[in-house]
Amino acid sequence: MVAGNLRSRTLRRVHIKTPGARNKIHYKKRKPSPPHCAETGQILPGVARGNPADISKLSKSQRVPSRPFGGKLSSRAMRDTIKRNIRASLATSSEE
Amino acid sequence: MIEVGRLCVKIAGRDAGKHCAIVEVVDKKTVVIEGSTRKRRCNVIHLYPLAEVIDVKNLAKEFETRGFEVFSSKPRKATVKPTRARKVKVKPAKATKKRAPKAEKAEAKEEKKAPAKKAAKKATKKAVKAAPKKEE
Repeated sequence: MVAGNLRSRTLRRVHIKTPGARNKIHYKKRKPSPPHCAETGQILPGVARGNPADISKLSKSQRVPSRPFGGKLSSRAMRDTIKRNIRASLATSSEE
Repeated sequence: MIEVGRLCVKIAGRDAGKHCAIVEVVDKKTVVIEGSTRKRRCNVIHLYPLAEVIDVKNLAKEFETRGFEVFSSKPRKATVKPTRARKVKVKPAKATKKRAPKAEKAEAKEEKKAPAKKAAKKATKKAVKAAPKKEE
């Protein structure tokens, strides 16, 4: 019988075949949920997923897209925000 | 709208949000841009054209007057940090006990042990020798 804390589904179960040809269950942490676009809510592609400890070992360019708002907004949302900002700045400059 | 000298903002890639000017029109889709971005070919879809058209020959001046940076491939000069003079710590001399050299110690031990052992051995030998004679 496994320990009580392992009976809940908090940890994910990984079936592993040992060198002695026995099947064992290993209990591992679940992946954190994928990052979403702050505007559209879609899952962001191009952002590294996995254990935070493993992600921290990656280089910055491997973690998130190297564009402004990379890892925060989707590319389409980023384009829209940049356009919006430019229009706003032009409007303020014309008023002055 | 797409013509040489048109001021634009790049809206895709790592140069997104930076200002640039069209330097050359390659075909319907592609143009060459220069300015705050790197000098490169670019799809027209990735540009947000503005109302202004500037003189491309004096691009650096035009950008400076508008308050935009001009991209330069040269690395920035590293600022020299003032270095502090290192403080040399002087350790106070510790009063250490003088130890006797090893050779002298070993000799002293042997002297102590040897006489006692030898005396004991002699006593046992004498006893062994004396015992069988009495029996005979």
